[in-house]
Amino acid sequence: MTIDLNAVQDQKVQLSDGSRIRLGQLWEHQTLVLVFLRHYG
Amino acid sequence: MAQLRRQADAFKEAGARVVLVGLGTLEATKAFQSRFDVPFTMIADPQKQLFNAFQLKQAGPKDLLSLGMAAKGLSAMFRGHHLGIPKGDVRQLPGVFIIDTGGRICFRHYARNPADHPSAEDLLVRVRTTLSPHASA
Repeated sequence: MTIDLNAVQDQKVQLSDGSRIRLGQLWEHQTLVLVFLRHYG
Repeated sequence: MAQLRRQADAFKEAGARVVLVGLGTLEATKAFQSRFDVPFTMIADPQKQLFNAFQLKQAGPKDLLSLGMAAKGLSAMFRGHHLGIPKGDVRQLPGVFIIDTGGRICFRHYARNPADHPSAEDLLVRVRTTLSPHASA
């Protein structure tokens, strides 16, 4: 599977504090461990 | 989640940032973070835009109703993990990606079933390998 991070990095995401950032900001300065959860519960 | 929370300082010391992506609304994400004392940044992704962008898979009926899954659920409960009513798409499978500062995916894990996830210790090893000066680009 190929993921185009160049396309994904500009996607805006909403953080739990309500702020919106560009996804790519999360790995600009630090290695990122991005964990996708299954569901809440 | 509990494993990751216990290793939060180790990830920080290793120089990595852990961010969780959930299927809930902003309100549900805040509630989850508060209830389980989550020490990481969380992203609310109720429309599954990120889940889709990272091509996370969906579980089939057999994956959700297998004896193996039931056994893992009971085992988690006896170990003190909270089991509640699922909120969100129960068929959505989890996954983990490690992305370095050059924007490269250095590690990816697509869960084959709802209980398939790498341990926090394994992820720490991967992070340290990624951050090693000898790691290849």
